[in-house]
Amino acid sequence: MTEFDSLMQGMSLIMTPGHIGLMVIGVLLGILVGVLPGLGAPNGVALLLPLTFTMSPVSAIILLSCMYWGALFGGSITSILFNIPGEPSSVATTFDGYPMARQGKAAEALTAAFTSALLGALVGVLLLTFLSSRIAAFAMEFSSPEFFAVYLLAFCTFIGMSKNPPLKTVVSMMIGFAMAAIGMDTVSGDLRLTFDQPWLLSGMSFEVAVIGLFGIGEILCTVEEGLVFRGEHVKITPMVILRTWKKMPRYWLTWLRSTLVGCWMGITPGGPTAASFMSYSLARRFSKNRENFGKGELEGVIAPETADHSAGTSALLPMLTLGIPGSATAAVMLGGLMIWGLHPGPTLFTEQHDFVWGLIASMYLGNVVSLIVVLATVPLFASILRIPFSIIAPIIIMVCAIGAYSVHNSMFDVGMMLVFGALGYLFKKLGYPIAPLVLAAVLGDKAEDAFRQSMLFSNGELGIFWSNPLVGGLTTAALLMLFWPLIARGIKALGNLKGARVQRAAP
Amino acid sequence: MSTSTSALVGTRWVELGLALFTAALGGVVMYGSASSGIGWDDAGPQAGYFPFYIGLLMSAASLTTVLITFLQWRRLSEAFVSREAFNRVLKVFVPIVLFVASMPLIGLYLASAGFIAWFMWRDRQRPQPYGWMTIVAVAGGAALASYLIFALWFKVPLDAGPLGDLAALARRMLK
Amino acid sequence: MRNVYGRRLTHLFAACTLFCASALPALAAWQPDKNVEILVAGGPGGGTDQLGRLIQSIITQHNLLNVSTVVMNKGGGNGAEAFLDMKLTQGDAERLVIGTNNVYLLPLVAKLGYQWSDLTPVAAVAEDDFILWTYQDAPWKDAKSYYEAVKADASNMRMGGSQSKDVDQTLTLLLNQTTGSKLVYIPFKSGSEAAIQLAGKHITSNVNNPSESLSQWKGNQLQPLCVFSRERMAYPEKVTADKSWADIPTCKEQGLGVEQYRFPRTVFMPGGVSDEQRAFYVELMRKVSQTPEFKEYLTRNALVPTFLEGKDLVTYIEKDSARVTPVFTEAGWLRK
Repeated sequence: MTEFDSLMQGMSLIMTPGHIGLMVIGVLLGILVGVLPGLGAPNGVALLLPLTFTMSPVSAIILLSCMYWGALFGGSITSILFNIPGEPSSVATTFDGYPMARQGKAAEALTAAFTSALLGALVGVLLLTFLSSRIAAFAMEFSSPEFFAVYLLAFCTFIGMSKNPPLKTVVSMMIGFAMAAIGMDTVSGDLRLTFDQPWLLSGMSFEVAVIGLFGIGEILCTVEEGLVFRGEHVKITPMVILRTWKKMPRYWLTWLRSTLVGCWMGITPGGPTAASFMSYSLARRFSKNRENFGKGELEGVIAPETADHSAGTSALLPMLTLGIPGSATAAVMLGGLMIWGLHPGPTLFTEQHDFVWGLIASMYLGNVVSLIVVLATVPLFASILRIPFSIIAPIIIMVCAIGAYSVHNSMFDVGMMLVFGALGYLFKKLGYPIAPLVLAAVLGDKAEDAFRQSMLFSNGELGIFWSNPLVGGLTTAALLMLFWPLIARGIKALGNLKGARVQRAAP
Repeated sequence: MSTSTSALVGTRWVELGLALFTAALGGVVMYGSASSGIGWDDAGPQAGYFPFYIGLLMSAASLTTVLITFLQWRRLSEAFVSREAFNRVLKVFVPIVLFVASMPLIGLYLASAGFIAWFMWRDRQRPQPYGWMTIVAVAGGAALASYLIFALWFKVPLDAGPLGDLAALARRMLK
Repeated sequence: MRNVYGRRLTHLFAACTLFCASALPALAAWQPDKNVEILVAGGPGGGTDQLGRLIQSIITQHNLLNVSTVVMNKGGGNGAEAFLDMKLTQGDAERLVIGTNNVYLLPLVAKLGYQWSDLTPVAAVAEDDFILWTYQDAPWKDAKSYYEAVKADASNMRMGGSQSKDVDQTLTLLLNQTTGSKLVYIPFKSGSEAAIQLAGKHITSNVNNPSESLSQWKGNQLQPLCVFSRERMAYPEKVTADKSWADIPTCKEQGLGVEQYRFPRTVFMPGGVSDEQRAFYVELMRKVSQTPEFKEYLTRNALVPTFLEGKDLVTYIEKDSARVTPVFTEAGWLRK
């Protein structure tokens, strides 16, 4: 049976009013979870799990996966409107989405974000539909050195393309790395940097850091400027949507590049957060409007959103075919699969034909349903901006506090949120970039584990990072990206030299 | 007029303070990782290797920032924040601190409701201050909504404080 | 407004004290009257998490409790976060923690500020077997020839497993001791990661639990060499075309020297609870373990059906700790 026939079979399985209803419920719950900081998609899916024990596996996975899509979409809403990322993976969306909202172009930013998200997700699903077995075989080639090279590539792309003052970037990034190092070290099994304090055992969660740095930091900056949220002009009308859609095709190259980055990072477990950062940096590097990035450039919204969603979707591929989750949410769903009596892995596609194809079919439909639902709720969210500051600010702070609390159910995290809030305020005022901190906190310990596992493989030889074409290519690409500014300058200088010679020779 | 817009503190001092803070943080990280072994043995780097250099880099970069601040001492003399603006920030930040501090004592719902109510009551910039009915409705409504969404719907056990004890007692009495 | 708020607060406190005074009548048999929190000493998606959520679903479906249950993951420090959290709420009888043998082994190797005796053991509800796995078309056909190859030259051979200073690495060290070999151990984040690494031929063996490698075995990517158990496993249904769990030879038969190595799935309560309260949860766990859903879970994951409580459980814990202590001492892991 071809993939296409299986897909059609899956479609007919899920095209029932009951399942479509479940999709809408899942998406709505997901948007709610995505909008509330701290209560991310992994928590939401984990909390819904008990409900699914009595359902059939197909219905259950439709509910959970649609909640995932909803959360991915919802995370970008608050990023754009309030500069508070609902999910770590939508941090990169704030860079240009929020400036756009402040210029009164929130509706345009939201439309672009949602649309590119849908397109990114659809490519991820197409991969899953037609290439899953080949990609699974490819993913098996990956071991610790390859993982490290992938993380290195993400870091180097981001640093090489960064325009912030280097010293402050280093400080910010090192704080992120230090946060990631706190707690149990996988390779040695020792506790690190905990200073015998029980509240440091589980490490410092970057969700709390994101809530504080962005949420509380932003509110402090806003009151200092004596401003209120300026969103009075937000009106989403079919006209705005159509106008934005008309603009989008000209960014096809950005979109294509972001999709590739997203799928790549989703399959190799870099994850959606790294994908969105990397894709944003690349878009800035290769855009014609480079100077406008960070000041409200539409392309700066399209790039991270596309990559975020294609990574989020393709993260399900290694989960289904190999049983290793590509993202935190996928890890929770994996637990769900086991409880429903399914063993993810190479045999899932043949043994649980209906389940797998029902899921894949629901991914197509679920993403389209998400787009419709989310566009329909934009006026609602936009109207939040019209609420007076003295009402919305304390409510945002309350939601941030609850969000920080719910990450680990600990009051200590709420206190940490305050510290990060003050730090976020100072960082913004003094020109320290926050993004490197988030990226380092998300990837830092994974990169370190992969590096040290590689050293165990090679008895401490660094040559292992060039031991085969795959890992060698990745490592070399990473170094190229890191020194890209230098290389670019060199090429330019060469070009000038040649040009000058030609000019001299001409007359 | 001159007092309300006067500079509270120069940027250079804040720059200096933050850089010294991160330098100290780097020192703490280095100290903490020293106990896990910072060397490189035959099985690759030890547990404290990376954290140690992370701390070292953090301190070094911060101290360089300190140095640059001194070099540009005059150029960085402009005001970091005006007295008036800083007052505005404090007027928000101090209540947040109080809000967070009161959460473990009186529970999340009461603290949130009180915090929102205080914020609304304080807002005198409006031509028409909020009536107490509006304040109670919004503050209570927000607390109720957070109960419904978080505690009831998503089963995040929020600390309800005395309210929770009350509810448990009421339930026991009903039984 | 401030005054109104303050007054409301005093009223509340007054009301509270009033209620406290009047609500003293003792209940006959103890029962929880608050929501029961089930802490999972592991991250979402892992084996401990699955067991925690399974117990929750069984309790809900069979109405075993008249209050609802909340599952929370506290996986920091290999689960130490959950146990420390239990220690802090001494006497709170509405909390359970699901763990493995990490509850009593972690304090041996890391300075954590708790001992397992700070908590109250409720029950061990199952045991996991360990199996020595290798990839499908490996040059060695059984455990014996694998370890002969390891002894001859281990420089290109690697053992993978989940976490460091944990069960997998302990078993590797035991094997190195009994066979006199020097196999290097590489810790990964989870057992499933170790399974994929083995299927991709990046490592040469691992000691996963049955369920962690089941789908790779079915998919003809991995093959079991031997099981660390006195008798063969008790599941004769075919897993692959021609083999069942019961067909796997024991490692004893293969001459590896480690007779039996298993780890228990444990349930603990905070310390300082009454015997009546403990008995309530022992009964609850017994009921859970007798449901068809739980039995299906055991079969699916090829676990060893075990139910230990009270004195038996304490003896088990003491014996198990005494057995690994010399291994830990020799490896230099034991906390000074």
